[in-house]
Amino acid sequence: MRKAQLFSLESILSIVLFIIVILFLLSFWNLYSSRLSSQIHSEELQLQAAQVTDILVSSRGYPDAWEADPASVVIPGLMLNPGSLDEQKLNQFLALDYETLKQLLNIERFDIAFELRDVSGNVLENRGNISSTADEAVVFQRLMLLKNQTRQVYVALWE
Amino acid sequence: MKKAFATVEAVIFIGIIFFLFISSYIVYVDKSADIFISQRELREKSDCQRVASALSSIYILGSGSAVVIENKQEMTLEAAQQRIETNHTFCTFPVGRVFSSTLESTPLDITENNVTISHRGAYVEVLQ
Repeated sequence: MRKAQLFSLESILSIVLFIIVILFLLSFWNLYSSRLSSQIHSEELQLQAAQVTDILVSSRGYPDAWEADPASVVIPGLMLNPGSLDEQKLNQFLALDYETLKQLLNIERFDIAFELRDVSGNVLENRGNISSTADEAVVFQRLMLLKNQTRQVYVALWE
Repeated sequence: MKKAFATVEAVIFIGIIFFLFISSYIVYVDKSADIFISQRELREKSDCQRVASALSSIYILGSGSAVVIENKQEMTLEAAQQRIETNHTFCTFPVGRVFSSTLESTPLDITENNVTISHRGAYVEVLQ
């Protein structure tokens, strides 16, 4: 009689239910933890991509005339005037070694692709291709002038 | 006789309950520690990226531009590596022409105070 009262079906059920709820909460916790980490990672990727895009299209680079001696380049900026790309800088940039380019932009942890497209979206020039196996790629687009023609500049970054 | 059985079972039952609550408490403490670590890293990462963004922006704005940032983290600027280290995380910046108030090759320890970032001719200077 007493035995039945202590180890009743209800008490066993309540313990099992308690364990199930705890396991459920733990799995949710792990899910949200992994989402948080991927969001942090994604934000870092976005910030890096934004900075790299800005450096490329909004600065002349260093030295100012680095296109004359590409081996001396420290920062590979492509701007001629605000809103315009320098064709010579662009050509030298496209000729840069991929690993050197990543070193110059301090993005060795990531991969980068650069594309120049016309207003219809046709690819005119590119440097690297976005990996189809990348989990997440961040792509920034800027409209720039190149020899008085509107061009779309795409910079993609992924890990 | 039945009373004795009931007592042993009661002890087992209470033991199971006790074990479950102790396990839950350990999980709670472990997850609280995780939250604390995550919060600290997020705060450090955010402050680190604020300084890194400012470095890039000031470089793009060009000579004469400057900004003062209220810094709330201790960090080390390693200009040569284009990297900022905090206690538990780090961030990088794409500008290769950053000088600290010391030298490019010497890391600059940035304390919890205002940081001045300015563009001086050919490079971005960080002062505190």
